Amino acid sequence: MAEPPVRTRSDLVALLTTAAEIEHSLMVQYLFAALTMKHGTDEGLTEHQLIRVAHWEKQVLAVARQEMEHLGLVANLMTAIGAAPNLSRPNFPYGTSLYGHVMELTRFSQESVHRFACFEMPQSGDDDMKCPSPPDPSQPGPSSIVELYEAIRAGFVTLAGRPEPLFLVGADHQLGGKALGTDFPRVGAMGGGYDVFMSTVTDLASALAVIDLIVEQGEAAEVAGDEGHFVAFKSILAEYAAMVGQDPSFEPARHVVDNPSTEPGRGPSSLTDPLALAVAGLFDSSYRTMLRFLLRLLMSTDESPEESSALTAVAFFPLMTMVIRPLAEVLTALPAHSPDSGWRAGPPFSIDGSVGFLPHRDAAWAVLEQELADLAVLAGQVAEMPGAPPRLAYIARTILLVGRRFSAQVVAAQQGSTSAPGGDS
Amino acid sequence: MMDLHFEGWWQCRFATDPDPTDDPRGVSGPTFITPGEPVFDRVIRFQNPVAPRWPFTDRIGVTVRSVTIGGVEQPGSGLVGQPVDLSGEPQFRQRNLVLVDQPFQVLIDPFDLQVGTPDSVLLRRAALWDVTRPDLTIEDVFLDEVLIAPRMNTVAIQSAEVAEATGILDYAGYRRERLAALTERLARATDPIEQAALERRITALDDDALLTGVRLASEQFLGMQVTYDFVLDGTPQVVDAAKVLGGSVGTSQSWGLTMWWGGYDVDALVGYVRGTLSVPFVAHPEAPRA
Repeated sequence: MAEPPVRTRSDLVALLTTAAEIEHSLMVQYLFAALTMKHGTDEGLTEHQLIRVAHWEKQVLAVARQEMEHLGLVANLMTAIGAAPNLSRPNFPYGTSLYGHVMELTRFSQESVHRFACFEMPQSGDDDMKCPSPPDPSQPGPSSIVELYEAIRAGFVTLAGRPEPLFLVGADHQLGGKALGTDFPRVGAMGGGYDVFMSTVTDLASALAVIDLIVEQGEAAEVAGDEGHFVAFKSILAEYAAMVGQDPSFEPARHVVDNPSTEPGRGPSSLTDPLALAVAGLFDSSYRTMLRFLLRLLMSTDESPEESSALTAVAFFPLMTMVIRPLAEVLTALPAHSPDSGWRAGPPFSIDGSVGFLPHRDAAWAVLEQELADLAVLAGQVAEMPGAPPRLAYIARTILLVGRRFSAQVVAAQQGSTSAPGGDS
Repeated sequence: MMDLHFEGWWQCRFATDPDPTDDPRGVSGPTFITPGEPVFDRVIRFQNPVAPRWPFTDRIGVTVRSVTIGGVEQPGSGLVGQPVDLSGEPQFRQRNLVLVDQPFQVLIDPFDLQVGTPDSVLLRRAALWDVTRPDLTIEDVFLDEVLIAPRMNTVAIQSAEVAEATGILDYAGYRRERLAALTERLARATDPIEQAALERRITALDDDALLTGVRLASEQFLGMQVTYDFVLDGTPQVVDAAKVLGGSVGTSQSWGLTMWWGGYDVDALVGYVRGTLSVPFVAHPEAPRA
């Protein structure tokens, strides 16, 4: 259904809230699919097939990182106009107005990549790609991502033209590439590290630039040297079809269950293997902790720049790359059920209700510190379970070290100092 | 003071961010294993590389290039040409900004340097985090700024000094030339594993045209220079079986070390090091032989 025109700030915030939910959901679906892919010849692939599979995984992970970028940019748009960034979304699976598809966690397959391509379909369509229409035109929500961002773009133009000020919060309360470490320093240019181009929003021009970047990264053939998302997925589909033509038994992904869940009663999606259940629980706890750090960072009000850096230093590289991703990789190699049904487990990416913003700084830091400590204890316990892969011990150790660094930052903040105190040696 | 100037290519087979540091194969970062190679072990090797890749198959090795005593060149020193090595399986320790919170900081731990070999001449000494507690590792001290500060590095990007040492003057051109050379080798390769390994490397180099992040990281590594200046303060080991030193080396004093590392080639998994080890030295009464 076409988005109604924006008349008020609340209308614009509602659209941006929807955009944040969609970007978050797409990012997770892309990550899930990428992390189900096979890694070795012992999983039934030839060396030649593995090279293609590794390349696809790299491509899909790059697209997922840009969806993270989109989520961050939407958060900056919301912050700039005085709204609260949104990291909430329904748990999988759930219906969406986008081309009639369901938002769901499915392993990498021709069907899933086709669904991803449809999500990123250019407004002009594509002769080779047939995507279903929305099943119910009366269902609320945009029928395409481009349509949603066109409505957001028009909303910014409309509201910026009014006498009331639209842009209320400056760049120092937003996420930039320098703080995230994505602004790779080089002669003549900045940005693009890890395929991410973060920028802040302070006026209409910067807001429109952000919106245009999001749309172009999805539907354009190439943006700033990167392959657009639609083109990337379409090229994967073509290569995938050729690989199947050469070997009809070609299967690039592990047999990971759809929409894995730690809750019983969901058929094959319900994990029943004790180790898979424990690792999935650890995964969801880690994911929620990461989101809570991220939300506190996005909504920080009285944190100093150094304190914001401390939040960044937990949420981004340490938790995303050293905990969330490897835990997902561990899960997709574990049996989902007991006794082993042949299906593999996967990361549920489950959120219990909203992420939960912690509004009071000192209390928030205390709660976050405690969550990291609890997470370290849980990770240590899971790593010692019978049959636990050795990689879990490395992950548990990482969480412990992350917690120690953050605790030192908490002490420093309490002392009114920005330098970390003496170590724990 | 006797200064030993060393340099050469080293190997480190490791995953870099945004891959987790323990990633065994490399996926989303610029480094990766190829068919036929063992999984990553993250060990820095000055000698005896594991599965070295063309065109560095025979080029990895750090050696003493010159020796000076009191600033005077010693062209006939028996130390010239001696291998330089790191013991104890050293690694770049960061855990993706867990152990350090600044990008481009790469702490090397353990750091145990040896020059020469025990059967001829050997100078060996480690850098300790705390001389009173020699068993400490980076994970024990990473929050103690006083202890880790001396081992931190400074950073330069697109370094001219690295470019002159490695000959890599055009990062994008260097990778284009590598792509062309590997493509040409693939056309001649007959071994299936070699073919697959070359195909893997070619695919990654092709990504320069598609993935900005990987291209930037690959080019940034080629030009990056990290410089260290710290002392070796562990228990020293001095062996002069071949009597080439021509004098005595101080062992109660710290040994100074300055060095830079850079020019890391993500396709070949090699980088360059140039440094100077400074040891207190008193020549024997007779003419110095070092």
